[in-house]
Amino acid sequence: MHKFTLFIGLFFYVVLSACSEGPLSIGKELVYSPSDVIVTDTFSISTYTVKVDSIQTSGYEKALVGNYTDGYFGNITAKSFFEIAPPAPLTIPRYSAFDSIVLISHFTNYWYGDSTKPFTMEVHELTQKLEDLKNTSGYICNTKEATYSSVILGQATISHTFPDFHIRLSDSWGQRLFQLIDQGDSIITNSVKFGNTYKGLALIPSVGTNSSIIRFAAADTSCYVRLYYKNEKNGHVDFKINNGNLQFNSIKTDLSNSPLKSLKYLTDRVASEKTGGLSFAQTGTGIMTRMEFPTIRRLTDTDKKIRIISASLILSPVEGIISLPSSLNFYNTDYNNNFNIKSPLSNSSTGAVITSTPYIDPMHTQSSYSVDITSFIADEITTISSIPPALLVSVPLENSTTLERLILASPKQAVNPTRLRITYWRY
Amino acid sequence: MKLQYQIIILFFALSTCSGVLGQTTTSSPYSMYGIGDLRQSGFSQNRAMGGSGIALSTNSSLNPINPASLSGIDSLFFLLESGMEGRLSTFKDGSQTQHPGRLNFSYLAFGFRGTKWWGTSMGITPYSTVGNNIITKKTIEGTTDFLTIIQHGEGGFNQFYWANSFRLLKGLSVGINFSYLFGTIKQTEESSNSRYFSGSLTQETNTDLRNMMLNYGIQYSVNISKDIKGTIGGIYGNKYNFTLNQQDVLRDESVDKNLTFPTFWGVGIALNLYQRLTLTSDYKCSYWSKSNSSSAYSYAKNTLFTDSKDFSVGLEYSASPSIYSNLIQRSRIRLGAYYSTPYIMIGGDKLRDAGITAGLGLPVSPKLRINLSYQYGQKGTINSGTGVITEKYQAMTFGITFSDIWFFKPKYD
Repeated sequence: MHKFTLFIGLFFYVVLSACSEGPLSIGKELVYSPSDVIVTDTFSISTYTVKVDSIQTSGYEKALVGNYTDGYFGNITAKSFFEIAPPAPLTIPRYSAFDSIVLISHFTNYWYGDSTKPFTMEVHELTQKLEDLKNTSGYICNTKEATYSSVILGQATISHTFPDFHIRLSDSWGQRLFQLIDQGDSIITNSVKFGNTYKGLALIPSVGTNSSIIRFAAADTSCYVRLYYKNEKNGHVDFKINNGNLQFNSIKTDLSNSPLKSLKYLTDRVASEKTGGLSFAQTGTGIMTRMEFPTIRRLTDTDKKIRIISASLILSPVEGIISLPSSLNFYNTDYNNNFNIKSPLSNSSTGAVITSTPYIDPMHTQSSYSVDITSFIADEITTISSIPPALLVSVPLENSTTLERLILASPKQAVNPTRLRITYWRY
Repeated sequence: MKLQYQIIILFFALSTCSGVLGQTTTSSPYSMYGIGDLRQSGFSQNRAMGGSGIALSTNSSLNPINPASLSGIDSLFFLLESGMEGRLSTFKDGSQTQHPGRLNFSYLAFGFRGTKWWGTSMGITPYSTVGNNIITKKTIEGTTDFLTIIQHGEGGFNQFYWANSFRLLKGLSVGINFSYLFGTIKQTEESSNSRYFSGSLTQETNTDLRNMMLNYGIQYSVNISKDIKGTIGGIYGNKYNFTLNQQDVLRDESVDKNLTFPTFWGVGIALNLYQRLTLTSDYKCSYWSKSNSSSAYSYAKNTLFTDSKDFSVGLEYSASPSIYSNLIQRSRIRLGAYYSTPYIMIGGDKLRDAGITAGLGLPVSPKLRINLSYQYGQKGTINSGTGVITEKYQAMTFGITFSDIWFFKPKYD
């Protein structure tokens, strides 16, 4: 009889072991699957070029100076402004005599334009306090310019290929400073008085230069006015950059000979159809590409529900003319190109700012930027609005101390077009 | 160890296993249709006799098929029965063969005869079970890649019943059965392809049922001769319009759907010869075609309902059923066969389910009997074609019956 119990036990043991078998593929023809995963990249994309103002250029410790004309981006003039201050305490040994005064800085391996043509840079004295140019957010924008004296304090021919520069400044200007120091004048000892008397310096390209815009260091440790004096031992004192957050660059764009000439206000836009299918972006000057996705909300025109799994925007840059920016930023925008400069598009779950680095095609025909805009698309398809969802594509404005350019190919081009690929779940 | 303890320990071990595995047992792709596989009614004894029992009147076991049978219980006994069912299947679809198994709780019931004219029983038993776990694939639209899809169904509806039997005249009993149907069918679909997204996209639908229904039975026995007793029986249930509440977990939506539980009737005949041999035969029909199949939730294609028909025959033999005989003589041998057409159709085709059964009823001790049934059957569509699934299965029901002397036997019965 004990064998009998064993027999029952054995049967159920076999059943139990068969229970653990995984999913069956038998029956798969009978299954009705109510949901689908769909990948599509046939959404239409409209691209425009816009120009935003109020790009912060202050406080980045870099000076941009020069002038260059580009067929697409127009004529750009960059000038740099900063305050200087005497060291405190400042003493010069007795019986010293003035020798000379120079402006010293070094280049930072960035230039825009024709690097083979040196140009003349002039130093002028400011006639306006930089403090007055700050906006309500406490920074100074690319479109601002401080007034300065027409007197040239000094000038030099420079090129980014020189490692650093010493520009000899006016001796009479230097003598005056030396006397004030020597007399222990309150202009030197009182920083408010000094700031009212010496408002700062402007570095500008000479009129008529069209070669390049170069960048050099403008931190208090790297850019200074050095006054040399003579004694038994020669010596010097350094007037360093004061108030680093007021050091800024004026970047003025003249688009009158560019296809973008109709861009005057923030709300203006130039459709890429009018610029050969191309659209543009440039940091420093505030030129950005506006991308509209007029058809993506049609995804929800179904009885079923939609969940966006992923959305990639693939941008196709024009190559060969310029080198590709190493990174791109994106901003949510409205119909009038308003955007919040402080909040670039970010991943809604991690909070990380979404940036895109380029895939460089070795043949330089199919390079691209691919960017994950899943949360943007997921938000936009559920938004009820007659205005198509839009993004601004920008070369990063943070530390906008370059004039890096991006030219995007038409979304309608046959090979490697700019496109939006959405993977979604319909259930 | 004494056999009776071995049996009890084994039984409870299996109960525990079925409870643990109850959520994950793979079983049958057929069960994704409608409200799942409708479970054969009847306990282990009925199962061993081909599932028959409409005209079966037993004195020492419970027959849930016909509530009128309860007034045949020996007035000495309080009966407690429980059973487990294990099933091993071989599914074929022309190109492949797979062997899932399942283990289920089958029934738990007790019953007794309260008076000379009233017998009663209460119990719980599955009404339908869903257990499917099917893997398939589907093109990701716009690509040449595939999604892996696993559709999983589990759960089912249970019934709690209370059956009462009344002896109206000598040989004539009627019965009424109150059933409370309750339970949830949970169906999920998981889609995955790690190249496109991590994890899986999961849809889940839960279908709840909570409803009450009544059905009826009648049995009439007559002594044809001194050693031959004949019984005829009938069962009947009216249709009920039940409300299924379906919750789409992902959409966070809930809808009520109507599902008609159909009118059914069944007739049976039994002959008892020399108190040793019992022959039974049943025929039962349920009008599922009148029920709206689309109202039942399903991830399956082309669900259609058809009238289900069940035909069964069985026999039981015992050398000497008297309690004074030895164990071997008191043992019962049971045989049976069945042929049925279930209520679901696949791709417009009716199904056929047929098999043979055998079983043993063994008195292990004065208070404990075990009832084993073994079943071998085949299920598949009637019209064979490509892609048709056939199932060959072996099922064993392992039932135990406790009987205790609860009442004194009246002097005059």
